[in-house]
Amino acid sequence: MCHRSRKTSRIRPAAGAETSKTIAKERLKLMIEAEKQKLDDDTLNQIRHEIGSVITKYVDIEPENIEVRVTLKDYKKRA
Amino acid sequence: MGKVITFTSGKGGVGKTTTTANVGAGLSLLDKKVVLVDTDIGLRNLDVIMGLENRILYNLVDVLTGKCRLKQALIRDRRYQNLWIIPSSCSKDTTPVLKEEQMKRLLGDLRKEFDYVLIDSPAGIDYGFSLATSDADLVAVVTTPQVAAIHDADCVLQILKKKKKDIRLIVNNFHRQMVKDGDMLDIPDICELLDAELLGVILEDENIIICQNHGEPVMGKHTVSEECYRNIAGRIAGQEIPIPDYIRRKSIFSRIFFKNTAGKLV
Repeated sequence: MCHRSRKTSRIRPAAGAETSKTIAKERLKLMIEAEKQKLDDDTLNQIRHEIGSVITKYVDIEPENIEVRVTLKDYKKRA
Repeated sequence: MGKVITFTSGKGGVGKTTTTANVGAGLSLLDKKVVLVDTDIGLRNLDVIMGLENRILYNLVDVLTGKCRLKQALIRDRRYQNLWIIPSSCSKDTTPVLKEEQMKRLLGDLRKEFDYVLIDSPAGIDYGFSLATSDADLVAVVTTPQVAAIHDADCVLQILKKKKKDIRLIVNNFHRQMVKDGDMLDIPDICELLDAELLGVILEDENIIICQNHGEPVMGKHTVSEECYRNIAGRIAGQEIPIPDYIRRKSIFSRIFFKNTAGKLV
């Protein structure tokens, strides 16, 4: 991918290869996008807790007996 | 029994993570079995610099809280023979859920498996810093020749000296021309100010940024900084490598000084 010319000089990409800047931007885009899409554990627990407490309003059941599973379909971005 | 070495700095952005990654790669090239541990909880960088961000399944917090086994969180760097990393988490929850005993137990396990455990400490002198340094056999304080970095390095050194830690200094981003022009503090100045033994000097090198863009250590890229990292790795592994006189001083005194400041490690 890279070759060197002199010890003190910069690593230059081979002719026609992507510059390292383009590679860096591409990697960062992927990372930032992936992090935005992830629901962290705390938020997920909060969702479970809130849905559970709504259910107890209408159904006579102890909160610990409710199991809430969250599946996100075609989920792109958090508000 | 492996050795635990923590890279810390006080000030952020002086090159702890880069140094950890490259010294680790250098040690693995010396046929040592090495693991790099990112302890900067919430702000993971080490995996990004090593280009291993897409291979994370579990992280340090998962291991310490017992969510997964140690083996599951270890990511092998296939470019090197004997190099593994444990990434940090990226959760927004920054509460210190981790305890020193958990860390000690983990490091005990890693010591049995690896020759060197290199810890990338978070910046600052908060809980994360004490967690990263609590069980270290050697603490390498990374600084640059800039006033703020040296000032913060001194704060860190004072804390570590009180804890009776074995400490070495690494000077990163050393511009030879600026030192020659009298616009940058020289190595003897920094050693005198901080009163610490030198482990190595890393010359300023644009290739570090280029390699990080690619997600690779500079090892094997034949750049000026590569040699510096190799020297540090060699010194850690017990080789006697003097610190080169990068400025080519004329006076005999400074040459003697330079020969003697490259500390031998036990």
